[in-house]
Amino acid sequence: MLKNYIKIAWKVLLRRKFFTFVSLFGISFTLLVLMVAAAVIEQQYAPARPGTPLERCLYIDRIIARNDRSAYVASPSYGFLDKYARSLKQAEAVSITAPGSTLSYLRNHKIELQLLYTDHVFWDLLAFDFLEGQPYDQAAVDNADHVAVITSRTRRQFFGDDSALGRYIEISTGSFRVVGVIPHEGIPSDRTWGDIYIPVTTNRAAVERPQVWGRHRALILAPDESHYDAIKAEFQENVIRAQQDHAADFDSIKSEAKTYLELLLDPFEEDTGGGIGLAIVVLITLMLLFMLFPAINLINMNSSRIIERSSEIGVRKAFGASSKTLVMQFLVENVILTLIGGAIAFVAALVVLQVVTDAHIIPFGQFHINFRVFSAALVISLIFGLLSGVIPAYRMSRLHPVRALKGSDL
Amino acid sequence: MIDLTHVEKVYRTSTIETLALKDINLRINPGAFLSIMGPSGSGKSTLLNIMGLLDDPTGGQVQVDGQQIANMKDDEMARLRNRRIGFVFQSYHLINDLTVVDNVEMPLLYRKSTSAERRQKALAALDKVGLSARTRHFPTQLSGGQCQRVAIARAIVGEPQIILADEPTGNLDSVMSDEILDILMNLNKNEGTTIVMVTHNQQMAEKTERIVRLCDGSQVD
Ligand SMILES: Nc1ncnc2c1ncn2[C@@H]1O[C@H](COP(=O)(O)OP(=O)(O)O)[C@@H](O)[C@H]1O
Ligand SMILES: [Mg+2]
Repeated sequence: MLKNYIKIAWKVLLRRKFFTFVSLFGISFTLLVLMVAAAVIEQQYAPARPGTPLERCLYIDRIIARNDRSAYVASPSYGFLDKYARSLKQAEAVSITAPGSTLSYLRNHKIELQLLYTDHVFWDLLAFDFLEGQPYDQAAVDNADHVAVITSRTRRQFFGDDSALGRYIEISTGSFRVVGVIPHEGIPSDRTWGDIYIPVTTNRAAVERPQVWGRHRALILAPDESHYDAIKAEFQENVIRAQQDHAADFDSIKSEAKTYLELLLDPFEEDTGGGIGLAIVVLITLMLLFMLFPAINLINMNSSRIIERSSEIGVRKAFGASSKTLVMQFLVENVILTLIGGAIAFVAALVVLQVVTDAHIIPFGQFHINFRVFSAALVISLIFGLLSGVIPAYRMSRLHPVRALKGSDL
Repeated sequence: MIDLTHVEKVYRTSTIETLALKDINLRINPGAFLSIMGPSGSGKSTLLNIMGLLDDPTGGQVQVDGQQIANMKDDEMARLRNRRIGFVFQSYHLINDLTVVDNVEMPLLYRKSTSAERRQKALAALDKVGLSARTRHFPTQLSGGQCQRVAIARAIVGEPQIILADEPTGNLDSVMSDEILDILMNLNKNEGTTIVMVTHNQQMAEKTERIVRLCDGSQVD
């Protein structure tokens, strides 16, 4: 019987070429927009590429310290994190990093490089596949050696296709010897991005800074998500200790270990600028609106098509189709349309994302189809299809055949 | 085989109530050829639709082969429509998205059958109505008379015991009308198919065994 439904659906779709084309366009366009948007968002804001340790990480990004004169809202200092976060007992590993940017000269061209100061734990935590060389170790960090890990893209920029090991890169803070190269595509999130990575200790002033606020952040690897609450609580105890230690300078010190998602929502909290969070909300709203058009269009078209076909429903009923059979027929038709649309969208998204990646429009941009988003989008389209196509068909099929037949004469 | 007792049909809209059928009592015996006549709006189509299980009466009872329709479930009704009844509409009601032969096959989709069987039966039915040459056409490519012949082929393809035809020649000229009537009369004579036909044409009606006349929803014969 299913074969029959598929046959009927196929015939109808072929016969109604215009409708089929418009529907397919609507479905695949909706899916394409969804997938490209998801890929961009994932690239820009995702906590981590799936499968990387960052998936079970907490972040300490911010400290709010107040006294009766002022309030400091900033990143924590190295000293603060070293003393109150590094020691977290329930964490599997704690890494302290600081972002920065630096200038370098490349064949008389000034170029700006994204810099990430890291400790040696960072490399244990992220376990990169090194293209060549290896990370700097604890000794190098303790000595504040001028060594660097660079990405494959930086290597290409500076050294072309040659090996970079043992060669030097000149940046504002000095000359650094390359000890390792990681794949540019392997960097799992914006929090771990850099064109060049150097030991956190090479910025002595920042590391020795006595204040609680500074420019560092901590990456806390939890054994798994179920430990998040315990780790957060443990850190809160440490923050209370910090408050006592700094009671002379500040009335209150607040800092929290947060998941990536909490971090994104953080800008809405008091005392902080709402910039990024607002931008994300605006972006998502725009995108939803953008997706709404093809979706509404789809629903509209589908419903009006069913009404247009009420006479067909009446005729089929008059000749012995049961409500169940009719609903199945429209269901199969919709599913086939959606699946074909999904396939088209998938191919189109592959092409678009490849073009965007190749064009280097967005730095670090590596855009991939997210299969979860793709399946979710497909399911959503199916639901749209069912709501817009099958429900009217169902209601129509419950009518007496004459009523459905008359529908065409209205 | 179809029994109507005290059948009544009221159409209710928000503003008016139309009593389309009043106390209709009618028995249709196997093998009969019956015509229904009456002025426009007298309830002929309503009556035929109720006989064909396309609509519910608002009062009275309909029985098919002794079974009460009122208590039937949707799929039982569907089965009866599929096996027992073939409908021919004044405005053909072919599915324009399907070819002639696919239109004719349609009723067979709703019972157990292979596609080869369906194709063969559909071609045989088209042969009976003299349309073997047009099987791959679409309804929009056919004349009115040809469309109605396709509709008849569709009505007979499942070998129903009864054919209900609502002004089957209403949109056709007299030559084509005669052809259609011939086809129906042959079906009745040669295959014993019971036929109920609504018509405005006195001459055509007189060729049938019995005429039921309706006026304002009541039987007046
Ligand atoms: N769906 C409907 N809603 C309201 N009134 C209807 C409907 N169908 C038919 N009628 C009314 O019922 C009466 C009988 O209609 P019908 O059976 O179509 O007559 P006939 O086929 O003899 O011309 C007419 O007065 C018509 O206006
Ligand atoms: Mg009528």
